Amino acid sequence: MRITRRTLLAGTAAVLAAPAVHAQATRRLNVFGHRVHKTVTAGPGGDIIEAWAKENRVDVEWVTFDTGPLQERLFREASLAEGAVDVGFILNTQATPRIASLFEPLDDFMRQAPIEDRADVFPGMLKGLTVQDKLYGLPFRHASSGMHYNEEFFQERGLSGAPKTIEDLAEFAKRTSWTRNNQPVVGLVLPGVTYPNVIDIARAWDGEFITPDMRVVANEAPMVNAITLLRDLFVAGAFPRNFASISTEDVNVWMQTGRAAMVINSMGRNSIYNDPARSQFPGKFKTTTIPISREFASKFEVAPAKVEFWGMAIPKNTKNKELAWGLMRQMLSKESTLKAALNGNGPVRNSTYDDARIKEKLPFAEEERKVLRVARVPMPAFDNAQRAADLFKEEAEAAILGMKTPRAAMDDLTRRTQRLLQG
Amino acid sequence: MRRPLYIKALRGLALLAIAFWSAFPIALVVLSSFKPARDIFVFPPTWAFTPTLANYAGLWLRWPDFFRTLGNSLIVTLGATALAVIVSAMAGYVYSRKRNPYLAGSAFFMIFVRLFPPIVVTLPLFPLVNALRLNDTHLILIILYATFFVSMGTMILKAFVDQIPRELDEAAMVDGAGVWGVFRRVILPLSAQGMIAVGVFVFVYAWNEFLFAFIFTTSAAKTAPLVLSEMTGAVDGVEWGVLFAATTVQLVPVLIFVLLAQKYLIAGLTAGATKG
Repeated sequence: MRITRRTLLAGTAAVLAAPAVHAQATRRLNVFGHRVHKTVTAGPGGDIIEAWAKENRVDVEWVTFDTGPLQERLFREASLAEGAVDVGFILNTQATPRIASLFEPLDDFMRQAPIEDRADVFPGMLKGLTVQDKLYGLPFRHASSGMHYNEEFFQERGLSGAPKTIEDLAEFAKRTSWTRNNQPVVGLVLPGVTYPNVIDIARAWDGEFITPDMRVVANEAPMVNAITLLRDLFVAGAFPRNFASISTEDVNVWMQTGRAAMVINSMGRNSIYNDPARSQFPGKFKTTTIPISREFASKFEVAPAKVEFWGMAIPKNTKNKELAWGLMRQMLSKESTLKAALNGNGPVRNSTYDDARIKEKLPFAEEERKVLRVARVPMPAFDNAQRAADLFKEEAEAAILGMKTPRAAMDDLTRRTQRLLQG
Repeated sequence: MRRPLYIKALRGLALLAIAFWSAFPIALVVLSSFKPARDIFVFPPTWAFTPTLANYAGLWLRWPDFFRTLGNSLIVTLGATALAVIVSAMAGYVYSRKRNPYLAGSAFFMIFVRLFPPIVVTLPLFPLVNALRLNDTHLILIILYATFFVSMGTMILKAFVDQIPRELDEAAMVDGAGVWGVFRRVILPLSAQGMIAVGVFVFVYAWNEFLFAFIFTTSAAKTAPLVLSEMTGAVDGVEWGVLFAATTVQLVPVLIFVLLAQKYLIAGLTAGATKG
């Protein structure tokens, strides 16, 4: 072939134009999330993004971080004049007025191109991402609390089935605190006594630390009962001596290696406790709801335990708002929610629990649905929430270690938190 | 005078204790990376076990980006090391051979700036780096890591150059060499030990650094410590075996480099110690 000046010029122009054509053909959408958000978008249940991305000619680029760094980085990017994030995942605890001001209200998007069957999404989660009557996020993943117990240990200690009330739970914890094959076993373990963990016990009496209308009620009976229960277990040796320094990961290791008989934790942990590759007791862990107290047994079927969730939000400084909304709608569709749940996600739609595959995959699916019907966030989101959480931990530890009575500690906590809210 | 036997024995025991104290956590991580995941935290611990590569396979399958980010770590580390060593060598030469109040002031300023905790400098830099479009590039990490070590590197190399007789500079100049020629043909070859010592410091720092990488990278220049951090924060349970495997892989290059360079490290650190 003879190369003329004309063909050379045409060829050069084509080469130079190619990247521009490609850029037109595929747009890039940056999603800042936790790795778990990415992994549940594809797996045995199917891919929830691929078809949408192909149809809209979008490259979805995931940038993943650990939880704390993710929130920090996301908010810093969102505060710039022009940011690199199109969709960011935020925790329900971060949905405060200050943080919400960095993100786009979604009500207009919702009116123009609503999500599929809004009523099917657990309303508490949408409410949790609503700040000053404006919706700032769409829920994607939840973790609701349940009780996991080692059935083998229960049988060895002459116990059958899960405790029916919170009072029974305390009794079971004492019975399952013993030395097994030269290894001490503790009846109940929690990842520390931070408010999200203790609130699960207080909810057996329908309790709160701070109510949704921002009243501090830590010194009312439910929270005092919860702290008293933990103090009693500590004294009886049924709660770890080093409870104050136990992390979530420690708790998992304790359960997997048989150092604890029961834990109150996210229900989804059932799979890692029963994982033969990681657990010394695969298949022996049962997961159920946190039992209600005798006093509230007539009011609730199960304790209104805590639910925490991740939502997807659009930073104000992104130029790809419409596209970001499109992706979020896609990820929250009924089909996507089901597929993601089959990939290991905590589904945010009620209808997902009706699917036979979910019932088969999650032995605790019905229990989880029971919890989700009554579950609440552990505390309303507000700017000083972390400080309040620190105060709670300090006072709860003092009470459980016996430095104060539970009543005195909760009175002090109430006073200190009220000052914080007023200031 | 010969030391009594019990003093020697005590000294040996102390050294053994220090070696054990330093090596035990590393040995634990490396050994655990070859254990079946379910046996890693079993009580009482097992020391005899059939080694497995399952954790390494898990790392390869479930965290493929770890290996890509290791590549980024290597690029950034080599770049930062080269830049810091070159700049420190040139600055060390100037500080050693020249005297004037401006240089003294700049030396003080360099050390003063180094006293700030990195986080104080980092956050105000974020919008600037963003505006310069340097976010998520290898270049920004190379510049930052090198910058943070230039002050110490300069002082180490100044001490080295101080030990090189000025007569050698003068002889080279008589032979027709300029300042650059003296630096390249006389100073650089004779201060190689010090440069390697500085290189080790920068290499180890840049290889393990988290804060700058966390703030200034997203995906293209993301380094391995960020992925390790993600592994420890898995919400569906940390895979300890995989984490230990990744830690072991992360450890190997820096261990090899330090082992190769350790004899220079001591020389570099003690340079100028007996001067005066």
